[in-house]
Amino acid sequence: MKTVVFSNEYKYMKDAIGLASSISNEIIGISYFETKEKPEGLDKLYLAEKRLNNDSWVSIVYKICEVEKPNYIVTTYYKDNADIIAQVCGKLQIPMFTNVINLREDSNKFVVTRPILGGRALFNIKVDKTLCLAFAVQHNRFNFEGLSKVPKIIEIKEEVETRIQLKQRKKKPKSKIKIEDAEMVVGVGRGFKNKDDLKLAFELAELLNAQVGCSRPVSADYGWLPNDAWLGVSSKSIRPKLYIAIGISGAPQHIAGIQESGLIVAINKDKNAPIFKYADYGVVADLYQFLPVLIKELKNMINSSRMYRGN
Amino acid sequence: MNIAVFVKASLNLSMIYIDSDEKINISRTPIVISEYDKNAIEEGVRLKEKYGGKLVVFSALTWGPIDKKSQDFERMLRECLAMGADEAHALIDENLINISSYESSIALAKLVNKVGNFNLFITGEGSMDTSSYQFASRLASHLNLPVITFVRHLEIEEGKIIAERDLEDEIQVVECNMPCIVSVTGEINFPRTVSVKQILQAKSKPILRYNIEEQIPRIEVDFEIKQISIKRKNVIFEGSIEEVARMLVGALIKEGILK
Ligand SMILES: Cc1cc2nc3c(=O)[nH]c(=O)nc-3n(C[C@H](O)[C@H](O)[C@H](O)COP(=O)(O)OP(=O)(O)OC[C@H]3O[C@@H](n4cnc5c(N)ncnc54)[C@H](O)[C@@H]3O)c2cc1C
Ligand SMILES: Nc1ncnc2c1ncn2[C@@H]1O[C@H](COP(=O)(O)O)[C@@H](O)[C@H]1O
Repeated sequence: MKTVVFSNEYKYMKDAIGLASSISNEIIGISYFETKEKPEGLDKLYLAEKRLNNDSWVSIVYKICEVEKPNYIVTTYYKDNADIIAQVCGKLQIPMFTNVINLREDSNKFVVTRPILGGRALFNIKVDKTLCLAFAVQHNRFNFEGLSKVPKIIEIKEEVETRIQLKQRKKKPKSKIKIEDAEMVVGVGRGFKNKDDLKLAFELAELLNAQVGCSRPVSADYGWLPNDAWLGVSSKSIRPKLYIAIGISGAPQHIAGIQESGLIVAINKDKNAPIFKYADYGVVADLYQFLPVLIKELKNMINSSRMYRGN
Repeated sequence: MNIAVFVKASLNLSMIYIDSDEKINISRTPIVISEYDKNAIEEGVRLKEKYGGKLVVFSALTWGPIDKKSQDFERMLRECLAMGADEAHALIDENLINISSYESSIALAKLVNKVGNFNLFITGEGSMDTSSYQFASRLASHLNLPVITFVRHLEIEEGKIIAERDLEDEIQVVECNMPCIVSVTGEINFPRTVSVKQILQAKSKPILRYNIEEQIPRIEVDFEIKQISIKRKNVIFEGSIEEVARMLVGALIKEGILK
């Protein structure tokens, strides 16, 4: 079996190679990278010299697929990767499964698992494995460890016409800490009336030694926090020991990113907010009244334990 | 300027019907307009208001059984018309039930070609039920047009689309001649809400229903959808704010979170 593995950015190629190596014995890579990274786990690598836009990638990947005639195409789910491979699959008229988190073989079938319904349910699809199929795997689900194959490199030199001109790239601001690594997370939602009020959440977070995350609108609509604080199906998933959702309604797409937390606390003024269904402990209160009291209570507790320990 | 907007009738995430074995019962779950498709319509309406032309809605019903879903489907199409679309073209066919964007993009591309010429095609970034993030890109291949995905801001200048793409690590500004396809994010605009009265008023606008005329490729799959359920304690603290704060701190200590 032969698989073509694609990633626009080489650093995300490992996930795709992970799945590819479990379903095929010949792996052909297509990517672009400029650094000293040493490609491995591939038999052959088509390497672009410079960064290409999606439109150009589509023609190149399609052409390579026509030559290589792979059984499968695998990529790692990132917005650009999915766009490029979906266009290629459109031309090849083959299906693609997005955000695959598991794949197993069941005689002549694959059983493909992916989250759906905003991440609140799992979709298990049985499909004939002799068909030409494409998979966009979720990051960190199919890690591959050092298959020591060193690929033959084929440089992609051709100039391809592109119908889309890239005018500008603006890097997004980043938080210093990765929220996925935090043990405690305080999540803020639209219950906060303005950016300045978030200081209540930050004060609470500091006392708990927690990081601050948020719902999609707080980051994507209002820009109050960087995109890497945004929790949920279209961004980060976290598994902290404690998650405190404040002024968050509990939409399925948000829950999908936090449902694996150890303990969930919800603070919301609406007793019917769905978030309470997903919480271990719930507080029905106005956050503007409740947080100052909670902060004071925590400070008291910390002070008294300090006194007790004598420092 | 003629604009085509693609709208999916998605399973209603707040009314998912779950059978006793944790399986999702599709037949008993209602369908509604997919969340970000409202943004797609809204963007179409705004462009139409600015540049004139016709705004046409396309949709393929993909959840069945058809008789149980047709009322919701009809209501969704009326809602789009009430928001400002001029007409709706809908595929309703047994052969399209339980299909994915792989098949629906082919079926709808064929329908588009039959209905007319368009300068711009707008979809949502992803559907809220199956979120395959493919439809716009596949449609681009079938119509042989360029596509710009994840657009959070859009301008038109001299027949060109200038779009801001919202990606994981960066914002890109790209430019492309029309006709082209864009998929829009939930942040591009605030969709207007329409009243039941406005929906009824949209009754005079045409909805055209079609069967598929020629077979489209379709993969055979068996599938099941299972709820992810994690048991929670669901304790709600009651009392004065001070009492509740103390109870919460107490619980966090008991759980070993606070020391
Ligand atoms: C395809 C798709 C992908 C999405 N991806 C994500 C995602 O990754 N992450 C995500 O978070 N969302 C995502 N969403 C959006 C999601 O559906 C919700 O719109 C969003 O999560 C709502 O954010 P929120 O809870 O902050 O706001 P709201 O739903 O507006 O909730 C605000 C809550 O605050 C409470 N409140 C108001 N004032 C106070 C107060 N003074 N004190 C206490 N409580 C108060 C209200 O009762 C309400 O429950 C996605 C949607 C779609 C369609
Ligand atoms: N059956 C359908 N009918 C009309 N539009 C659709 C259909 N399926 C998907 N779309 C459009 O494609 C977008 C992305 O869908 P998806 O590829 O499922 O994530 C949706 O937001 C719709 O705009």
